[in-house]
Amino acid sequence: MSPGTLLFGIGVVVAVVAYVARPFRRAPDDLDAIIEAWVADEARHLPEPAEDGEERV
Amino acid sequence: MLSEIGAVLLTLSLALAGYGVGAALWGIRTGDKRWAQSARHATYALAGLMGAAVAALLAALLGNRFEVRYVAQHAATFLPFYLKISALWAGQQGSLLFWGFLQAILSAIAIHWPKSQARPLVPWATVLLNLITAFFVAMILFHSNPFTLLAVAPAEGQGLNPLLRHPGMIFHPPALYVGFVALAIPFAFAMAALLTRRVADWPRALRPWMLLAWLSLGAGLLLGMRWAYDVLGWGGYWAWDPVENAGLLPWLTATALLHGTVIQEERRDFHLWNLLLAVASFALTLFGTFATRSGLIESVHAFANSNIGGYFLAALIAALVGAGNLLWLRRATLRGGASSAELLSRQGAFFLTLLLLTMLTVSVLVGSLLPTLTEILAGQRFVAGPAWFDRVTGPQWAALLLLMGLCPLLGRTASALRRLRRRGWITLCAGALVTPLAAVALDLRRPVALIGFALVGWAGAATLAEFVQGIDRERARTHAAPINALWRLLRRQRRKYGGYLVHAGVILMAVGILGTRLYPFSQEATLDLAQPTQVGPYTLVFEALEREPREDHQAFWAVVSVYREQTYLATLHPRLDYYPHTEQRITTPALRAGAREDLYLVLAGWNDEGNRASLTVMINVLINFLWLGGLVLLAGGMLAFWPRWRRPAWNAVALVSGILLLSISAWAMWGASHGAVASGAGRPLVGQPAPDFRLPLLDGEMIALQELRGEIVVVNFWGSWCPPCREELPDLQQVWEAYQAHPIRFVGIAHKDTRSGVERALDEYGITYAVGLDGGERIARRYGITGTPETFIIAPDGTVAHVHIGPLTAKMLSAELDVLLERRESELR
Repeated sequence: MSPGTLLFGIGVVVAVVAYVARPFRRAPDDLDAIIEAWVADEARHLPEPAEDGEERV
Repeated sequence: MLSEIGAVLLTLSLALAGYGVGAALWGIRTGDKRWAQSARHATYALAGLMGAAVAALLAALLGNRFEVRYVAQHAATFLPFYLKISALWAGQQGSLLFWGFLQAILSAIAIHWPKSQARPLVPWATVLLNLITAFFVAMILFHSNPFTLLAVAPAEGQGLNPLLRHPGMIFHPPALYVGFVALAIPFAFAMAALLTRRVADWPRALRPWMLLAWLSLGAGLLLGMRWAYDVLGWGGYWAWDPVENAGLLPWLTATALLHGTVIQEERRDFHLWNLLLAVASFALTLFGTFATRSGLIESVHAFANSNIGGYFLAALIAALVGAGNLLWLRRATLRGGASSAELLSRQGAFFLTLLLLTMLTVSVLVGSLLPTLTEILAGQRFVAGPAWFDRVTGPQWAALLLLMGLCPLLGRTASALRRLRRRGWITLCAGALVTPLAAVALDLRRPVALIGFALVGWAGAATLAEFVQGIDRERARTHAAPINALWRLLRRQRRKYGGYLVHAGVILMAVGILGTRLYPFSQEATLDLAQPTQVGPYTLVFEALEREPREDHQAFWAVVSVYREQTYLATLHPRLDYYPHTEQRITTPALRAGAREDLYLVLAGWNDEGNRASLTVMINVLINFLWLGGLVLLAGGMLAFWPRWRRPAWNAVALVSGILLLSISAWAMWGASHGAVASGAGRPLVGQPAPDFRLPLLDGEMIALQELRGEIVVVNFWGSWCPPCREELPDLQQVWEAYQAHPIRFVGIAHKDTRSGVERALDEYGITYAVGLDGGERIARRYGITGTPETFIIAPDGTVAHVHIGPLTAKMLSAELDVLLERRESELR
């Protein structure tokens, strides 16, 4: 088998395996959802403002 | 390199098909959708890989890579582009690869776009379809690899078998293969339906695939029939050859399946029938392949030296055993459904149709296997010929026509007889009377033919009545013009009226079959140059034998003028190609198509001098109804098959494509020459009036044939550029001088010549008789000459007495003039 054919074969195998295995790949993380979750979490830990508008000490 | 790439692609395909089966099974077992999805991806990728393998073989064929054994055996540098493409399926290895590719691609389409009812069936269908593809790929890889190399590459390939060098070859095998492959899809989904116990809805979901299979097989069979008629030169179109039957058998079961699914959709009945028919259709494609590639049956079409028949037999047994087992296990699921005991109802008529089509299938199958069966059972081969098949299947076809007439008039419920009495019996009986009368008018009077034509009229009237009633209803609804109403009807109810169009096609085909089978005419005729010969109602005149060297063969053709009742019809060129390498003689018939019949000439041989030719003359009565019916049948099938697109533009494209396809088919049948040459007029026959002419002579005088009435006139077409004409001139001059004292005139008509050339020739040979130039070939056309020299001897009464094609000697001419002079003298006395 010539080197060209070998390379071609390897290329096809890689492409096919990648395509066939696609359903098993983990879905990519949803960045928007992560940011929104972080913002919500941070918001829960923020100190509440004083009634007269001054910051509590 | 291409060969290695092909082998790599096939190996990967096999692995991928195996993975597809395993992944789908695992997905079903675990319920994990990711495995099912991965199996589907494997199916799509498999189609891509098989497509790439086909592309590799095509590249090798188009690039003349003769180091590849398959290319060396089936291609050659001189083959035109389209034949190099068709070489892909001309041999066993290539055809299996192509089949495997179609199997992969149609499987991918079927599981990617399933109809909603078929979605739950997809996982099991994926298993089965990948299994079938894997079987084909394994066959190709281990037993029939088209990519094997030769130790030494030849400089030139063997080329395609001369019989296969026909434009139809580009369409005929692919159409059959699509049909065979498409039948695997309903089979796979039917088995999936059994496995999942969802036997009710699969036919509705799989209907497009059944229609595709039916349509493709029908187109393939029709193309095959036309190819046989145009190329093989035996004058027929269907020889009941086992390989032809191998295509017909699944078409019959597919027809039955399409009818059975209608009742399953309407009445929830025929579950078992439809499952059995789906299994039978698929099994028959395997059987056909096994039979043609195993040496089991002898046929001109069978693949010689094939070693894969056994594997197809194993696949056939596996399919039948598996399906039978599954049907037995699910027998409880198949019970039930509405059932009607009335035979004279729509359901009953459909049941009879299924029964008849099944009987026909069994009859054809038995006839195909009869030589083998009788050899095994009695030690003696009994070959069932066309007469056997006609006798056995004829009454069954007739019964189908009878049902075809009854079915449209029967209601879906009981009281069908009353309905029939009210609606249609007058129409049916009128049809059954009119057609035999028309047949009698055409002089077709055999009792069996008249019965056949009565059935044709019966079924035709019922079909026509359906269209007329449909148009009436549409007009009442929309107040549209009749043609618009028909158009709306065809658009709105494609399936129903597509089906009726198919019936109309079958009826027209039946007319053609009746004519050709019951009124065969074949006669061997030996024709002498320029001598009219009567064959049947036609007069044939052999004018010349032409020959021409081609790339790898010698082409010979006879030029034959055809007359009927003294009227010139056409000039035909029946051909014979001789291939010295293989010592093959391929005859290509010439035919003149007519509404009542085709005249069909085959060149059988000729003598060394080329002045005598042997022809086989056939007259094929009503054959064009067969081809017309075939086109109507395909049009109906396409109408029923074509999906209703949401975008109007797509519908328009579909319509234009369909019309274009049918127009091309019609042109191929009736527009192309088929060895007939268009000619304004033929030569006048002996005894016919000689066409009048006025010819300006070189000396400025004008001569008119009509003014020479009472004298014998020798009209010689010649040219100063033509060596045989120049050789003939001294003889003509000699006779002219010898007969000066008699009422004989000579007229030389210079054809395709110049004044100076003619004058030089006249001076050189001392010609003194009248000579003129035929400007614009006006006179030559009226006399229908095909070359020079040609001589017409015209009697004193203005009729043609003798015609000579080719050079004439003084002796011959004198003898004929003496006879004419003697006759003139006796008439004067």
